[in-house]
Amino acid sequence: MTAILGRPAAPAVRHRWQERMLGAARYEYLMQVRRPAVWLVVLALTGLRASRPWPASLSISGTALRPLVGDWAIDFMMLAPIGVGVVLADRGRRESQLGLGDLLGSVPNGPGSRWWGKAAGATAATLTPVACAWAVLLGYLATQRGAAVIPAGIAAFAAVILPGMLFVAAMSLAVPLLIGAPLYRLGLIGYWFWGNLVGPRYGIPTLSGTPLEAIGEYPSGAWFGGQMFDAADKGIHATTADAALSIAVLLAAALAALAITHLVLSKLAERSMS
Amino acid sequence: MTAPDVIINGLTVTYRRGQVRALNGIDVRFPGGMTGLLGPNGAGKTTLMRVLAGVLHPTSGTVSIGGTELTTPDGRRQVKSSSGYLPQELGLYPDLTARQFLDYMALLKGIAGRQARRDRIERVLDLVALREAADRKLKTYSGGMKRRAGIAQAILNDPRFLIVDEPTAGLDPEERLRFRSLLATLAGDRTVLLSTHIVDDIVQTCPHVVVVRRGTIAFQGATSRLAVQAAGMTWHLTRPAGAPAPDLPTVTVSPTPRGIRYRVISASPPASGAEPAEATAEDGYVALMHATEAPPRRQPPGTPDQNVSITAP
Amino acid sequence: MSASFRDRLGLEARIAGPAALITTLAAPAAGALLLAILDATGKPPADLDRTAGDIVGALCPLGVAIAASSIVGRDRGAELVMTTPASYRRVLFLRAGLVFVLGAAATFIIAGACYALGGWPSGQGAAGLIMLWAPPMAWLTALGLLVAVTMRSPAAASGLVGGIWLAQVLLGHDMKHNAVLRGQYLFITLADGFPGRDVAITQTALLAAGVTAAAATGLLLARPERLLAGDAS
Repeated sequence: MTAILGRPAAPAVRHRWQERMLGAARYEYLMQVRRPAVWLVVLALTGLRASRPWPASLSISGTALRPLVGDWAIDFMMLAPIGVGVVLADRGRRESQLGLGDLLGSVPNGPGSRWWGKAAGATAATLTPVACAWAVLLGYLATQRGAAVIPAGIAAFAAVILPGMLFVAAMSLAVPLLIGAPLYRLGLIGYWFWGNLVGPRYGIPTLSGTPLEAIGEYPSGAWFGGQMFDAADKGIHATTADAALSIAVLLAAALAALAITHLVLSKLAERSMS
Repeated sequence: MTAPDVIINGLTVTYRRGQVRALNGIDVRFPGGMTGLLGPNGAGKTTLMRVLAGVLHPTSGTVSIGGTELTTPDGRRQVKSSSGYLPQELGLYPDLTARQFLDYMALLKGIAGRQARRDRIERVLDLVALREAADRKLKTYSGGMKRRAGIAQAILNDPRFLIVDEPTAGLDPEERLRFRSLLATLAGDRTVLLSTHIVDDIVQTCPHVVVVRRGTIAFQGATSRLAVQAAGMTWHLTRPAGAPAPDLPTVTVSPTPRGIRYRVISASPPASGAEPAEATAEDGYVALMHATEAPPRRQPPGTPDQNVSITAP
Repeated sequence: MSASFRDRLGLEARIAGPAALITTLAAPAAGALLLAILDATGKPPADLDRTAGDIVGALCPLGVAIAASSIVGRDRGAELVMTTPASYRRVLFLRAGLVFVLGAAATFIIAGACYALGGWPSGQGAAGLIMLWAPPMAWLTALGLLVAVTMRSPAAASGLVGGIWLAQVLLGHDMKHNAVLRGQYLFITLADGFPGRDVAITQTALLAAGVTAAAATGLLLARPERLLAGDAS
């Protein structure tokens, strides 16, 4: 102890935003990926849908390669986003619930780097089981259809699965700060059902079948030849532009949710210091 | 009604399927009045208190409080009806006022009748000086006020056995003194077990003390005998600033004009120039924690052994 | 009901928290709003009736289950409560029961209003005022509580309850026409073309499964100190 107290100069302190953000992301990843609920819920819901894949005509040997991965990606997206969203819904408020508000407020820098680090790390951790399940599926498909399925599968993950998941993740971090986790979880399930699974054939206005839906139907249809269901009900055959628009809308909405939350948190932090 | 005796035999508590042995077959007896419970972090103090409060089930061993065994559900219920517990990490309901919180705890403790409950709550609020703030939500309370709310709920049912775990942690000196006198008042005809890191709190309030180390009992006896554990082993040693610290159990470190002054525990003089000091309870505690053996002493025949159970069987 | 018990209920409701209470009322409230909007926009009566059935029989049970399971693992005073003579198992069941009863009452009111206004699914009758929603609500709530207590995680409970609910919506066709799976099909009362006997068997099986899950939860709570370890997930 005397050696530490006798140190001649204080340690150098750097204030690089990226370093703080990446550091926060790393630890948020480690904290989230260790939660059994993250793996249990996400894998259980993915497995539940995979036990009866859709469409009924989907066959590993009979379906062409790109539609095969496109349809499987949609299968993953039917239930797994619910799991991703519910396990992320309690992360935003975690610091205040754990009584860490004062401690974190006492560090020299604002909440921004921590917020983006949390968004990146917690999201990456929650998507890790999805990525693992997808990798297992690709591995299995590769044994049946050859290695060519792998690049197609990676592309499908990036284009069909990831944009919707990032959208759900961002909303699941931001919205519960306003309305609380239980109400958000109910709302998420209701939104996912209404906005992605209830098509125009039910006769109610819905986001399903539009580029605003998060399930990835447009990229799957446009780039992989996957079966479109709700959009097809509207007579829409997705083009590359439609798919790009869908992805852009989802990512922009995700970014906006996170950016607005960052602004609000920063304002609140400033107000508490004045 | 007399203060209940607490008798513990062979108490073992393990966690993680036996991998962690928080308490290892301890035998201890707490008589009426105040008994202090000392020990470092992780020694097993809080585990012991949780077992006595009925929160944790022992892995093996028996615990009897006022003749009632804690090992049966009925026994636990009976003991809980007449005991109070102030935990170290006090979880409160932030959106309840103190009055509502105490009303809730009174209901759970089985205090029958709305009027009887309310009368009791008002008396307890007066005792802990929270009556004026009783209708404010607990989340607006300072740390000291929360602690007082905590002690208030612990004494709601006029317990015969009171367990307080680190009650003065985070309190200012005045609050600490107020707590001490409150506990001393309560200990009159009750058994009070006070766990703390602050040796002075024990010395000032507890005639008896039990020291826990690594899940076992390192000492149980009169608090005045705690200092004896370091008798003849307490030294003051001064070293120049910047020199390495002595590799000995250290009680205090203080800067002086001549250098850094260390108060250490050692069976033999640690260095030339070391000055012997009169041992205090704190020195005795440190000696116990480092299991420093006293130098052999000639004892007159008939002198009682220093480490005895508080009450001879 | 004694004054003390009334006081106790009030305090348990406060401790359950506005989040749980609002969530349990959210589905009936949102459902009522949706029906009002659809009616105002001229939706055909047959479609309105079916939507009313979907809200009462499917959406409301989900909301109540998520709300009830959200109270597990959030009890800051759990350790203190466990030091009192009161059984923590009963405390938790009482709190969850409050949330359940509130949601059930709101669901019944919505169902009653639809029935009284003539907007009730054909074939349901007055018995449907209870049987349309009670078995799935009991099943989902009991499952949610069991998962929440086992995993010490409301997140896991919501995820599995919501996922199973949605999976049954998606896989309903397969479940309906499988003699074994039909016994656990939450929406049997909403399905067309099943004789009353099949519906009654499924409703009974759902209630029995709910009771079993609740009993399992009760067994786990015989050692409530496991909840003190915090969110295991």
